[in-house]
Amino acid sequence: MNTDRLQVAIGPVLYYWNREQLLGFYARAAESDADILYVGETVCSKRRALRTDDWLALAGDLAAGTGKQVVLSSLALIEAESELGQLRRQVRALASHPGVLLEANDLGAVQLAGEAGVPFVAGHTLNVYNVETLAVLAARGAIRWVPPVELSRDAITDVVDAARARCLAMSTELLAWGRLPLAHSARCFTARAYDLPKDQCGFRCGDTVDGLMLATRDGMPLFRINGIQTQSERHCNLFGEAADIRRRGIAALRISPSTPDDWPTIDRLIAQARTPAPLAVTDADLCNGYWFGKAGMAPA
Amino acid sequence: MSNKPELVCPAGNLPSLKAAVEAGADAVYLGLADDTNARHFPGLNFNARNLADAVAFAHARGVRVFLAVNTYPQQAAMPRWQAAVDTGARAGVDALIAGDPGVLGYARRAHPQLPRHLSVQASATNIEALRFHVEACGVRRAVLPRVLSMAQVEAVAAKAPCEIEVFGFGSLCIMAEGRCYLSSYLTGESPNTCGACSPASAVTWTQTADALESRLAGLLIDRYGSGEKAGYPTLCKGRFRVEDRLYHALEEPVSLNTLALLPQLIAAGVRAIKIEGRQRAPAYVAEVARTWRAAIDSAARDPVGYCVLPAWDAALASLSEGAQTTLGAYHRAWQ
Repeated sequence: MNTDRLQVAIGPVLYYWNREQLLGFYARAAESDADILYVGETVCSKRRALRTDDWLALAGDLAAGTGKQVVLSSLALIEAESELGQLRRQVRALASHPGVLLEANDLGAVQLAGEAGVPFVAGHTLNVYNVETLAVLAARGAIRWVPPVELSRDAITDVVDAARARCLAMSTELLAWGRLPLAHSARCFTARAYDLPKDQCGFRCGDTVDGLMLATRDGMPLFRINGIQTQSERHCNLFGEAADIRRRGIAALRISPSTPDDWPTIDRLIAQARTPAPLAVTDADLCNGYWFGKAGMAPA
Repeated sequence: MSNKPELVCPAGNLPSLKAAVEAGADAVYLGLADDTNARHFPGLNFNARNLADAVAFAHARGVRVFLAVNTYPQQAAMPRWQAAVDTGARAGVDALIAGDPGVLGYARRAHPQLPRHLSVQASATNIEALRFHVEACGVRRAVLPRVLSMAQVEAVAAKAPCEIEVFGFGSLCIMAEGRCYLSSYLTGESPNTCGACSPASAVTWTQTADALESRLAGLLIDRYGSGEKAGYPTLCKGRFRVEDRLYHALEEPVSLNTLALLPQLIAAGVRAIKIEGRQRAPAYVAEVARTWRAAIDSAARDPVGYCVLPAWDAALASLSEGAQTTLGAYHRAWQ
């Protein structure tokens, strides 16, 4: 990969798209100008539009056919034995497929990747707030980290600088566009919205391509329900800060896709990251606050 | 070794600690009066001097003291978290409760003799995550998040490389602890960064002509008519709109109560039962501790004949949020 410029990553699909939508999305992603592609299910193990083997095959095909870095993302919340079994299978497969990295989104995945010698990206749900923690992950094989969404630019920069001072071989990727994943629960809020038990959810999260909007009683859009995950309703967009982000030693910007067909937006963002002096983005409907050390939902 | 789990009670101040000790706690847990712990509330918690008093009082009665340093320090603030660990070690606490591997690693290096417990904030929900914390941080015990079903608790406890502590009673986090930023999204302060969820400083109450409105950072969390009991606007327990429905879209204002599961928890090998509520008054702590002391003793003495006495249920229900209790995620149907 060319590391002289900001890399652009397309993050894992957080919603329940069907097989056709997913395969179509990744066929188009393969042709995009993105440097890094994440594949895999991170929210709910019951979603099976693509199964573990399908994801592994897709990852292998993308890695072989595109020259992009391909990363298989794993679940953020691992509770059931079956989910652990699925994770073990992913790690075993990647151990014999060095062309694909793992994204560890739970410390259980860090443990398994470390034991198997599989290099990994430390995802934003791992709660890395300081370099001491990052160093522990680096010792287990982390090569890149994605800061928790609530960390400010100054807090991230402090960790980046401290990692450099310690000579950690570690790069940083920032979630820079999309809805912010804010919480994970044992409870499925989509099933709850339809008065269904989680075990008989009917896969209703597949009814929409980007979840359900949750608003306050007086009509202010606030969160987005996506199965067990709660997201911000607003999107963040830090691509206008690309020059400052690069100066702070951050290597990659992540786009978290909202819909299967929003390629005009994704292509524009990638082009913007390639521009030496991108225009600042100001939009009252954004949630860029965390980056600036404010409440997350603040526009800037 | 007795299979009777330890009763671990909350202490937000010295009177609560004394109440817990006198009501039969085996251990109390507490924090320092700053953002190094997950109950950073105004007027709560301990300083170096009264921490020593607390430890002396508890130890004189055979009760252990655990210090929670369980928020996530950012790089520039790390020395303060390290100082909190040092303060606990100097005061002679019996264990440190922490979630951040950086804090646990510091404690291991600086105070190797001080046992380390993994905080619920670390959200260790599976056996591999526990193995990570045992190997990387040397934790002796882990507090499981309140997102696991009873069957999942049993499965984790059966293979756990460390002691297991679970929550028995108190406020219910519906999100995986330590992985919820809803509060900072609205207010800038979260449990991880500041030890606060839906902080009081961001709360406003407005009485309108026909309703009482609670707001957090200016956003409407709930509205109560004259016949409705108003609750603290913890953001996940508000009423919201999804499509055309208005309801408690995330969670009702209820408390966790697992008295009914006690024999199962003991059979699963759970070593300690934790009571939530460092923000509670001494009378609350005393009542809950007394009730759980009786229940644990009863369940350990006669697990087969154990039943939840109506008096216990009544005592706990009267103290609970919205006067309602739930088995929470332990009961699969809740999920």
